[in-house]
Amino acid sequence: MTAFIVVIGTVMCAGGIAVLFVRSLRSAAVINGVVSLLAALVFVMMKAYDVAITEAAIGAFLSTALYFFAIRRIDEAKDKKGAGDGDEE
Amino acid sequence: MKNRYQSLIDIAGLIIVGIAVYLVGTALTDTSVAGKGMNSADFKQRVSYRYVIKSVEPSAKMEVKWGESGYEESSANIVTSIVVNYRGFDTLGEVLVLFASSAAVSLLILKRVPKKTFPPTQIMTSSVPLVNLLVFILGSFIILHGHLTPGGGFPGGAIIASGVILMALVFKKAFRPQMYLMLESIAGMGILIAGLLGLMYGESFLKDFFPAGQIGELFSSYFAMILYTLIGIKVAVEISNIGFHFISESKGEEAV
Repeated sequence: MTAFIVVIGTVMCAGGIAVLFVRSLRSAAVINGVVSLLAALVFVMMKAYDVAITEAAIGAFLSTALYFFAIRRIDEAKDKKGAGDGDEE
Repeated sequence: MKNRYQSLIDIAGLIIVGIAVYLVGTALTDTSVAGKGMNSADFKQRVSYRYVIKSVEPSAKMEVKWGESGYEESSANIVTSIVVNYRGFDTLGEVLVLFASSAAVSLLILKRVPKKTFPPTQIMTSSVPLVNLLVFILGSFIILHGHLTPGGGFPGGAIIASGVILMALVFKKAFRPQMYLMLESIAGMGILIAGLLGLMYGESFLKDFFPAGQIGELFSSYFAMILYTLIGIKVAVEISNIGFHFISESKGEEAV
């Protein structure tokens, strides 16, 4: 089980680094949510069910949803400012 | 602009933080004072022992009476009895922190009119009612069984809030912040009134003054149950209010 936790932790570290280098903001938000979901799995394996429920609800769904709303807001502001600079994606 | 002595200030700050970490670490691991330090070897002297000795095994099922069989032993979940009974004041502070963040979001984003630039697809309109049924049942279960099973007011409230946000994305009629805010004020007043009743009938603020009941049953730890229900309503309303503001903001006409 320890090896499994180590593997999941490595994947989580890779995801956390990938958030920094991914081009699209939406992909970064989704990777962030996946890292939170893996953290919830690790919490379950460590018998911390309280923390796992909270992490799955807040980290995986709510924060990802708020990131998406905020990214949408950024896109709208960019569209309003001028459709000339297409530096995103 | 960059200060000339910025790097010196940074190094001084790092040194101060290091000294603080060292001091706190030595204080936590200090065993020279017997039974006094936070890492004292005598486990029975510590407060957490009173929570660990509880059991929900049928053979060890015992009638727990307030004031006789140790403090705060009524709820089967150790975490709940610590969070709601032993550190109830701390939990009140957490609720206030969440309220402050929700109020800050309301202050920054004042627009509350949903716009139609985000039309829901067929998948969402047909699947969200089914999913939300399960989500609401799970959230209510986690809140009501907070003193028996893992979870409680905060996770259950977050789960219910995620259902409310999903619903507000799909159905325009669910977008109704005013109605939910009324619920939130009632729940917040209820928490304070429960605390004041503890001051009146018990010994201190937020004291568990109800009879404990049989450990491991649904209607056993009434104070934790009532407080967690109120906290769940409050957390659900606050988090869904943040979501409402983000949705309405992203749908608003004028960009700030």
